[in-house]
Amino acid sequence: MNIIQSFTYFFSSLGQVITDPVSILLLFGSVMMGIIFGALPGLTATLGVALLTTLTYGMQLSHALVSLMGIYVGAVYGGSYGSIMINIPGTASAAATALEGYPLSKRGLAGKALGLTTTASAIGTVVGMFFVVIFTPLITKLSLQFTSFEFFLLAFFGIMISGSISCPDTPQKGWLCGFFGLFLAMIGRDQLQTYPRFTFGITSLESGLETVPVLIGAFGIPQIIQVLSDNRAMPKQNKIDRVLPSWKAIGRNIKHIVRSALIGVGIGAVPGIGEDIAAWVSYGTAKKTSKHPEEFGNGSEEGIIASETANNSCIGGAMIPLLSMGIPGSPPAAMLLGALLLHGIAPGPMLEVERPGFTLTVSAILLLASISMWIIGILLAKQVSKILKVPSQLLMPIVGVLCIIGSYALGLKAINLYLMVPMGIITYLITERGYPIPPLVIGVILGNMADANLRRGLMVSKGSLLPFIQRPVCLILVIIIIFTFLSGTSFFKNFLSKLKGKIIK
Amino acid sequence: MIDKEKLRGSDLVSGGIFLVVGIVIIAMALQMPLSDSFGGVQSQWYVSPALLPLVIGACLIILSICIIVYALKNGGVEQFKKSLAEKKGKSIVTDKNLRMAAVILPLCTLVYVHLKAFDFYLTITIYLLFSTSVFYFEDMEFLKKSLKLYLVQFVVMVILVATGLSKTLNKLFFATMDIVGFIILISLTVNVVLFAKRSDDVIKKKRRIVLLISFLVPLLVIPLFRYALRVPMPKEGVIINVMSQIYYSLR
Repeated sequence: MNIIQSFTYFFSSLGQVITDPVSILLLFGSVMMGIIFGALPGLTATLGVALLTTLTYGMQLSHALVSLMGIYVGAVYGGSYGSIMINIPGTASAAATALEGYPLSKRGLAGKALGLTTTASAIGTVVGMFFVVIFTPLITKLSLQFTSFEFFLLAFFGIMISGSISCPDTPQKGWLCGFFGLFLAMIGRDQLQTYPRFTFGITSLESGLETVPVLIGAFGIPQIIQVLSDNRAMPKQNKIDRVLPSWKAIGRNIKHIVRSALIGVGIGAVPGIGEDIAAWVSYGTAKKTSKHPEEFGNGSEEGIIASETANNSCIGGAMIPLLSMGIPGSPPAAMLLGALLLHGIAPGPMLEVERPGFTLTVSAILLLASISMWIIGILLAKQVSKILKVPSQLLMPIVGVLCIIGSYALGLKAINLYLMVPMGIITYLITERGYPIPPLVIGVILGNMADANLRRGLMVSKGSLLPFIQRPVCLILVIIIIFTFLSGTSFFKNFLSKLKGKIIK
Repeated sequence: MIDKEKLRGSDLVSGGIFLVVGIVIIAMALQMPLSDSFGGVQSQWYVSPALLPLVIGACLIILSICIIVYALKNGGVEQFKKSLAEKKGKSIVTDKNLRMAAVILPLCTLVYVHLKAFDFYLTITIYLLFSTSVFYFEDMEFLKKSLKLYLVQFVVMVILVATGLSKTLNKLFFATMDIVGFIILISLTVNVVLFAKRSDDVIKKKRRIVLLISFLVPLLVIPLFRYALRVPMPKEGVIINVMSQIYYSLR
C-alpha cells in the first residue's frame, strides 16, 4: 500500500465508524465503561478487555474492534480518577499520577488535575496511534524475514524482559513465572504430532487451556480476593471544580507531553511491559529533568502530565509488536490478542497480507477512542467520579459473577471454570509472595508459538543449533537474553561494579 | 504483597514448590516420545513433543534453585523459623483468614458444587447474597455466623453431589435440587433480614441494597447472556425455564 492509498484507507476507516450509529454508540459506551473500570480500584484494563471479549464474541469484527479498543483506552485513562479523587490508583498505571494528582485535589484543584490528565491522555493516545501507523508496517516487513528461530527467541525474549522489569522482587521470580506460563500453554495436544501433554487422561484438557478464561482467572480472582479480604474503606472525595484545562497549561507543558509520549511508545513496544512501567519511567524522567523538582510530590503539573501521557501512549506502543509480530506489548494487549484470535484474526507478519488495511483500521479506532475519551472526560468527569462512591464490597462479588459467566460463555465448558478458580487462587498466592503476573500471561499466550517454532526450526536445520548464532537477529536476541539473565545474578553485578571501578581508576 | 522482611522466608517455600513442579515436568516429559515412533512416525529428539517441556522443566529447576540460594544467603532460614515461631500456638482463625475464607469458599462452592446442581439464577443469587452481605455489613460477628451457616450448607451439598444423591433426587422430581437451592437462598435471606432487624438504621439501609443487588443483578446478567448473546447457561432449571417461557411468548 503506498502513502496515498494508506491515507485513503485510514480516512475511509474513520468515516465508516463515524457514519455508523452503532459503532459510535459502541465507541462511547465502551470508552465510558473503560473509564468506570479503570476508575474503580481493583478493576484493571486487562480485566475490562477480558470481560468485554465475552460480550463481543457474537458481534461483527468492526464492532468488536471498536468496543475492545474503546475499553482499553478508557480504562488506562480511567485509572487517574481514583488517584486524583481518593488517592487510590484505579489501575497500577495510575499509581504515579496519585503522587501529584491527590495533592492538587486536596488543594481544591481536582478539576484542574482531571482536565490535565484527560488532555495529556488523549494526546498520548494520538501520538501512540501515529507510531502504530508508521512503525507497524516497517516492523512487519522486518519480521517477514524472521524464521522459526527468531520467533522462538522472541517469545523467550518477551518472558525475560517482562520478568526483569515487572517483578517487584528479584528478577528470577519474574522469569520463573514466565516459564510457568509456558508450561501452562503446553497442556493439551501438541500442534505438530498431536501428542497429549500433561492432560492426566482428562479428555477436556486435550484441546489445551483456553487463554481468555485462564487470564480472567489470573487477573480477576486475585483482585476479588485481595479487595474483599483487605476490607479497605473508601476515603472521602474532594470536590471537583472546572475540568476544562487552560490551553496555556497545555502549551507550557508541550515538551513534557512529547517526551512522555515517546517514552510510553518505546516502553509499550517492548514485549510484555505494560502501562504501569511506562508511567513510572516517564514520571522519573520528568522529575530528573525538571527545573522545579521540589514541586514533585506537592501537585506538580509536569509529574501528572508525564505519567498520564506515557501510560496512554503505551497503548499504541503495545499494539506495534502485537500487530506486526503477534507478540503483545502489555497485559491488556495480550488480552486483546486472545480476543482477536477468537474473532479469527491472527496478528503477525501475515496480518496485512490476509487482511489488508487492518493496522490502519485499528489506528483509526485508536484516534476516535482518544477523541471520545477526551469528550467524556471533560463533560462527564463529575458524574464519572461519583462511581468511586460505590463500595467495593458490593462491586467485587458482581465482578466475580461476570468473571464466571464470561469464562463459561467463551467455550461453554465447565472445565474452563474448574481451572479458572484454582488458577486465580494460585495467582493470588504467588503475587502475595512477589511473583509478577505479566510474564506468566506472556508465557501462556506465546507458549504454543514458542513450541511450534522451536521444533519447526530444528526440523529445518536437522537438529543443528547453529542458526541460533548464525542468523544476525537470532544472535542479537541470544545476546540480550544471556545479558538479561546474567544481569539478574549477583556474580555479574559484582563483576560489573569491579569493572566500573577499574575504568574510573 | 507480604512484607519484604518476611519474603525471604516464604521464598524458601515457594522456591521449593516450583522446584518440585520443575522435577515433575521433567519426569512427565521423559515419558513422552523422544526419538522413538509415535502414531507410525519415527520421531527425532528435535521434533519431540517433550523438547520444550524439558527446557521449561530445566529452567524452572534452575530458577527455583536461584531463588532458594538467594533466600538462604539473605536470612531466609531465620525468617522462616521466626514466622513459624510466631504462628505456633496462635489460632489460624484470625479475622483476615476468616475474610479470606468468606471470599474463597463461596467462589469454590459456586463453581464445583452449585454450578451443575442448581438453576443458574439460584447459584448466582446465593453467591451474591452471601458475598455482598458478609462484607458490606462490615460486622465480624455477622461474618462468622454467616460463614458457619454457609459451611453447614456446603457440607450437605457436597454429600448430596458426591454421593450422586442429587441426581437420584432429581430423577424422582425434576426440580428437587432447585428446591434445595431455594431453601439455601431462603435461609441466607432470613439470616440477613434477622441481623438487620436487630441492628441500626445504617445496616437496615445496607440490607435493602444487598437484597436488591443479590436478586436483581442475576435478573439483568442472565437474560443478557442467555437471550442477547445466546449463551446457554450451565444449568437451566425452574427459574431460567420460566424466563425463557416469558421471553419466547413476548417475542
